[in-house]
Amino acid sequence: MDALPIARLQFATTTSFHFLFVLLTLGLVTLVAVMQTRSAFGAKPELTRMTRFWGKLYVINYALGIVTGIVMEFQFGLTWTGLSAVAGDVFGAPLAIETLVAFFAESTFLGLWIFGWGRLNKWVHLALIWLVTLTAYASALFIMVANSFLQNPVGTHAENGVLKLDDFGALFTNPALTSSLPHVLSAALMTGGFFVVGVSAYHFIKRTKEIEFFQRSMRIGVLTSLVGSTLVIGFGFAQFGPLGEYHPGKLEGADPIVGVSLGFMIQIGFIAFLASILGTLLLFRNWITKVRPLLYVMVLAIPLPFVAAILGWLVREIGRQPWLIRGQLTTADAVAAIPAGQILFSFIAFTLLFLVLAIADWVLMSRVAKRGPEPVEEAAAPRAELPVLSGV
Amino acid sequence: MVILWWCVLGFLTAGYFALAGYDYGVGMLLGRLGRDEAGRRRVLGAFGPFFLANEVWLVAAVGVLFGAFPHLEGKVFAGAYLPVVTLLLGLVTFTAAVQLRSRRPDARRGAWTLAITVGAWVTAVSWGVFLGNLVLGLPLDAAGKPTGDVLAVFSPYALLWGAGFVALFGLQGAAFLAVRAPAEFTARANRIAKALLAPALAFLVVAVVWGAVETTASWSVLPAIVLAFGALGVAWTALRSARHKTALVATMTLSAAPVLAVGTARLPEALVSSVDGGFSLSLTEAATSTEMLGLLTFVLPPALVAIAAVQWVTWRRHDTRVDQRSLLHF
Repeated sequence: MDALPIARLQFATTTSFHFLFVLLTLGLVTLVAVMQTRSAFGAKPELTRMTRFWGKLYVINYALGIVTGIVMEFQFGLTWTGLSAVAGDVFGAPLAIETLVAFFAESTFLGLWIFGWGRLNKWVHLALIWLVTLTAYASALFIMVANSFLQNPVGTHAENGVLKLDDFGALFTNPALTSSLPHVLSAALMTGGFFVVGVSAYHFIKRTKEIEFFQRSMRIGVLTSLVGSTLVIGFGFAQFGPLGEYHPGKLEGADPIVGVSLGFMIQIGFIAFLASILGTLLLFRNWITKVRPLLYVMVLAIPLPFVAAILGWLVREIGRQPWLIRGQLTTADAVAAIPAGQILFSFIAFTLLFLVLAIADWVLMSRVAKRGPEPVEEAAAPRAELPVLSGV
Repeated sequence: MVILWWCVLGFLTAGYFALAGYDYGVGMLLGRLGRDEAGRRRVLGAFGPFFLANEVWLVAAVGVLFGAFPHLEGKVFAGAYLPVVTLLLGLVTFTAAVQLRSRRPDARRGAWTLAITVGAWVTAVSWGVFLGNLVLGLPLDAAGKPTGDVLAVFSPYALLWGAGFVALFGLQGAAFLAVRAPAEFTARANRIAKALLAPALAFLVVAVVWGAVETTASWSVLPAIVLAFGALGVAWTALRSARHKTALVATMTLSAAPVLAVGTARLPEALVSSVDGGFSLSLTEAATSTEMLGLLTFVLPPALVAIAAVQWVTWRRHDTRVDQRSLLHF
């Protein structure tokens, strides 16, 4: 039994799960922050309830983003020991900054936000959700810096088989980063938008009484999808130029998965774009909430951005093979000398655990999403004999 | 510079044990203490506001390990592959279950409660086994590659540490609940904490004596050992006289002391092998280049100070017991 394919599958599975959760985290937190901002500046009670409801879904989703991320972080040291041996002096810094400056801060601020509901000054509480959003984006930046370095190891030179850093700034102007980061961030926005639209559509199918609540949600969701899908396509195609220069032939490589995935991702991107334009036109007089067949389509479309994101990730990562750091370190050389049986055990254990947790998490989210927002009076005044729940 | 970053890594790791240790302790005791749903919500509510901020100390520590000591990072996790894997399985189960358990008001939660308890136990045992292995030295050959034997990392000495950490985290969790849980839990939490004092002492004594015989640890480990015994002594007297806050600080120090012992036991080596003529890695070899450390020094300490300040505010805001007006999230 060969350890390499199992170790690769293990990392790919962990990363895929992680990606599914962080994508929605990034998109949804932006929407929640916008809702809370509008709620803070206006006096609409609907917007406060929207912040709570969508914030609750965001918090449930966030939980699995953390745990899959921890496993991913450890796997660099568990199975890809060649990476730290060859590029630890370069690759380690963005990861360390990501964990400390971004992730550490993000979780701390999120904790304060959750436990600050109704207790902190309104502006401080608003600042917290923006800090959470900002640090989440910073996380994405540093992770993409690290990933882009693997795609295109700029700013370094090899010395006795070890990469030495010449120019830290070059890591941030890496052509593999500058066009892919906005692509990923706009994909996250689109995912958040589709999610909010889909859940709102469900409630219109069920003839909800919360008309204003879901009309407003729908409007924010559709506009976010429009912005997200426009940018995602723009930045997607903008990558072909630089990609052709730093990694010529990547998309025509030996592995047919790359080409097929790329094709499907582009298809989904255009479908999402057209759907967002249609949705935006239908916002006129709220027609969007009245065309029932379309509402069903919106619910079914929730997974589309996730599928596209996984396909895009396959293009980027499989296209890099057989290199772990392109031109410097092959994946085969980087894998640790762990007996294949042990890696197989951990692969099966992680996959089963993630599968169970992901399903539990999604079932939980769909139940909470279906229940809809808290009734107005309950959100306003908690009864004395019941515990005070955070509400998100 | 290398020493400074070794201290930063030690601070973050010790901080993680001192803080997250009581989360796991509370998790292990959840079923024993919270006998009905309202009770379990309040037990979880005790660590609620701190939970996210505690767990991420680990993420930060591993980040610094990767950033400042990349050559150690590649050896230490692969060298103790199975304990690290079980640690992650326990950690993921515990962390996810705590966050997801109470999200639906009308749902049944038995499975989540079980997942929290089991996850906390697995995490505690795995941390012990992992650290015990670091004291012994990892089974690495001369080239630093892990030797194949599955059982090598589950030696009796490492298992002793596994059991020891159940006692340490349990003690810490009980001391924490005596401070933070509603008053009706205090007596029971205090009783559990007192019952765990003797096992914790037994672990310290056996681990130190056996470790002294088995390994070639240097004298630099002494302060950490003194700290551990001192902390246990303070916890002992404080629990007997029901000074719960003092007991909590002492048990937090007690859980962090083994980390400091592991970090100082082999200086100037960062990592040694348990195999004769096997691999060893000095602090200097383990660290990244001087320029990179300089860069990290520029970025990380300010961030660290800011975050510590924010967390301090969190602790100050929640320094009273969970009561009817406390916000429950988990």
